[in-house]
Amino acid sequence: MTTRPLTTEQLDEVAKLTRDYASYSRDAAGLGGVIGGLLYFVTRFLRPFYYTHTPFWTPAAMAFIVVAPLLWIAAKEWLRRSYYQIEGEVQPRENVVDRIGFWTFTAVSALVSVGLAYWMIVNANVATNVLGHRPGLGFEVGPPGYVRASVAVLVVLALPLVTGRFLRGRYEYFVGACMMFHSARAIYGGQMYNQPPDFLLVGSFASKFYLVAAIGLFEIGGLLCAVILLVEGWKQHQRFQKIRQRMADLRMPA
Amino acid sequence: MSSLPESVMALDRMVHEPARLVILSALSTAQAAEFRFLEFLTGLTPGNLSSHVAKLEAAGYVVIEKGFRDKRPLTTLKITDAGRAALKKYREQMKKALA
Repeated sequence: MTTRPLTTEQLDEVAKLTRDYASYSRDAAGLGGVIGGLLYFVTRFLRPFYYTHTPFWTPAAMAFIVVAPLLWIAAKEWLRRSYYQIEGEVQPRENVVDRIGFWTFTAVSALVSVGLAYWMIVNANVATNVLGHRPGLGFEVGPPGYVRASVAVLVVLALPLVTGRFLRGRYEYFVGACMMFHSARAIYGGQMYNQPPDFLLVGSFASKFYLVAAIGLFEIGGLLCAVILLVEGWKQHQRFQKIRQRMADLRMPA
Repeated sequence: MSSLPESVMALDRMVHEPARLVILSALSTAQAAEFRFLEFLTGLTPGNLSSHVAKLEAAGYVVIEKGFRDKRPLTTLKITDAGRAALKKYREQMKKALA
């Protein structure tokens, strides 16, 4: 590239290519998005493949749901460092609007997280389990149940930290939040989690239409975002290959 | 020898050099970039790139930060406000000169 002077248009292109390349260090996940979308589908539709003679999921399937968010983040980070930023990391430039957007997003995420933790503690009978007053909806009573409930609440409370650090895209955020919530439920839920569809079960216990509707929307929203994430991730991956190729073309000597 | 037009003479020679122009253009749209990214982008050898970067640093157009990642040396570059202003001024001067 530097064996010849570049035209103004080419310099603009260099700047644009750098900005696009930098987006893969934060917002654009590429194949990481594809993996996230696929993982979400697997965790939500795992049951038919692991269905046994009992109405419950196998321990292996439950363990997979628990670790799915970790697997996704690990795969995404590995791809980012080993593929999308292989030529060197470039951090995207942030303006004031971006920063305000990020902190607003994180604040909303924290509110959602605290709200979900509250729902778990109060409405989902984790408190009764922890306090040992009476068994919850299939929860274990005693120290194992206490540990599981505490870990589940901690997972939910970690939501803004994890999404703020690793899942910055809007669809990534929603799928990641759903995945972490399912992970938390699998940790503390015990038998309750094994009864699909979740929103009907919870609704039947709660006998509240708004709760059924909210969880139903949550399920549908999660699946829709997973589809979008999958398609968008694949497009981002293809775009990245073009960016890298174009950078190499511009570098060719005259 | 005929003298060059004033608009060309007024160009910032520090920015005008093709490699440094590419470096500044790339850094202008990023918060920070690793040294090896600029190696990839420009196709320069590490020694040659270091020389250009050192000149830009001496002019106050970029800031170089050295550290470690996974026990390996890591060099990161950032454009300064002066560097951004110099690039903008250069681009405007070039437009006028070519008009």
